[in-house]
Amino acid sequence: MRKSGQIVVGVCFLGIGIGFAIGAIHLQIGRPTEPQPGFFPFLDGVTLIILSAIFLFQALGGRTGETHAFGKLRGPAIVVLGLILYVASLETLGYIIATALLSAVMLWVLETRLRVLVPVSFLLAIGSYNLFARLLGVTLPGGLLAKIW
Amino acid sequence: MGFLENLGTGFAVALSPWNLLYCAVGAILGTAIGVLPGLGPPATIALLLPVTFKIDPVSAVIMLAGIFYGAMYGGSTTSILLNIPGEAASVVTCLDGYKMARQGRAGPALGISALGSFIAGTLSVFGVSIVAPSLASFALKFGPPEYCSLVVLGLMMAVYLSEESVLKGLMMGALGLLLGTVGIDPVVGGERFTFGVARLTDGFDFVVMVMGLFGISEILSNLEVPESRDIFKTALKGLLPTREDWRQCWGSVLRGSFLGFFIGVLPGGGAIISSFAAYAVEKRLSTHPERFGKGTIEGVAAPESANNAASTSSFIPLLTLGVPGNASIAMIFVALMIHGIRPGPLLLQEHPDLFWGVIASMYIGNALLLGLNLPLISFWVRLIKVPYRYLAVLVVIVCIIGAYSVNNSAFDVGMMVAFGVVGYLLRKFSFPAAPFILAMILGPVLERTLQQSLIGSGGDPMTFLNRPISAALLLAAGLLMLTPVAKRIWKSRRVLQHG
Repeated sequence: MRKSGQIVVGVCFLGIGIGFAIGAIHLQIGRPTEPQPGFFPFLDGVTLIILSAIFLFQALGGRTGETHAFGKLRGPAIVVLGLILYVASLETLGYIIATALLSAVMLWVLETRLRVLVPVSFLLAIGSYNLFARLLGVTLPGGLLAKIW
Repeated sequence: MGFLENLGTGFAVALSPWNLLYCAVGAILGTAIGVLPGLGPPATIALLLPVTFKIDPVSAVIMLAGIFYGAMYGGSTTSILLNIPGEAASVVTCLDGYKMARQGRAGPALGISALGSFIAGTLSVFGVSIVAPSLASFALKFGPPEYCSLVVLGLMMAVYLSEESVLKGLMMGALGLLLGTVGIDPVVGGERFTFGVARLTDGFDFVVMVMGLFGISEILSNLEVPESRDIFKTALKGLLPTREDWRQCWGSVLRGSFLGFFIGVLPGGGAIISSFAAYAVEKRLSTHPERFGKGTIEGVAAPESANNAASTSSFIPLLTLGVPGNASIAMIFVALMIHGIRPGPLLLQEHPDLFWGVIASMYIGNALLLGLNLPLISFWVRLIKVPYRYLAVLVVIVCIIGAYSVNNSAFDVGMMVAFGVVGYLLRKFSFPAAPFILAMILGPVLERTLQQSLIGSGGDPMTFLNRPISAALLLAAGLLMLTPVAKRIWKSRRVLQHG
């Protein structure tokens, strides 16, 4: 699993290097005396390709050094999903509702009791809105509550 | 103007009421984020960047610098009382600090940590005010090839010193350089790798990226393990170290300060490496090395002094050469650029108020931190007791607001989440984030100086080796990269020799 993970990472880096190198060729590389927009990205893309190839070679031999084992992935996965939904709904729902929901999800993942979770989520959302939007003048989306809050 | 006159000008700037306030805000905020695990100095500085748009650049840098060195003070508190380093630079303090706390000596451990940090910070500021002007005058001789080689050396140092695997560091550096090319290209001014996304015309936003890589990824990592923090209950009495404590550790404080100062000056060097190096040196020099790891006061004094000295001296490469040495300093580099100020050798001539004002503010900040930290230790301890679940949610909320406020757009929040996930995965595979950030920031400088050097020399790459300073810098970078290979060969030879 660890070895295959390293290989996947190596392939990702290799893909990025190849992608940028091809993109640089499309932008035109030019010559050292007349470098074009693709000159530097091309050099760097090729460097990343070489480094990734070495990394992949080492990964296949199981010599890519230290890694940290994944713990329980349930928590991070739920929070990432929550954050994606948050981004998608922020402008529509508005800061207070979206943030209260996200806080509730995070607190639930962190094993908070329901009777604490609900008030704390709203407290954090409303408190942070008042601090940043009202007091410090940061613009935050009003969404559904724009007219009443 | 002489040194004292310059410093006098600096104090006049730093002692203005507003600058004093910003210095205090930065120092307190820095201590708080140092105490609380979850949001480190780079993410906090990134978060406050939009706030600094509206204030004077000198005040902005004074506040951001305060956050950076304030975090070094705060980081030790959790190391000593919880065995959890608030900052990576305080990891080594856990070894003896926590043992001291368990032996009922939490007070002297916290006390020597604050006093040692104050002494080291002050000595280091003095060193900065002596060394920085001379280095800036020397750097005025640099042309594009020297700058290009210097940036290469800075990146190589960051790669070499950040993690055990040089290859992973190099890959992250190369990736950072590539992502740094996204946006408007410096040659013809056309869009490059933006894929038609208007938001990418100015490149990736550093604030968004740093908060994702350092803030969100930290929270995601912590969500994997259930919350368990055993706050050691002890009476915090007798914070001032005894005469015997001082007799034991004054040498460690001075050695830590000295070592930290020099490691901090190196591009890529910084508080983390200096604290480990100082601990190792103390253990080697000690007549009782067996006491280390069992609660000896030298084991707290040396690394805490070193990390503070290094955090201060790491301003030297930024202010004199325009090369940030670590992720936090890189954020201050970004802050200066936003205000239209180019860090480098000309900074001293063009903005002496900023240069000397920031240096003087560090003197004041260190005194403030000492004055605040010892009396406020019980407050910081209470702060640590706030359950992590609330802190985690707060950190995420603050990051969201910071990212959204950059362009008032949910797109930036999405980018931050994406960088957070990438940062989380990279942590798992031990890919260091610091070379990536530095490469992204220094990428445009590297591209510009590389192209200028090549055009100026008629396309001859030997121009980098024909100029002595440039050649020396490249040689140093090359030697750094060869060190791990040489070490490996040396090790295999020894294994072969000893069967």
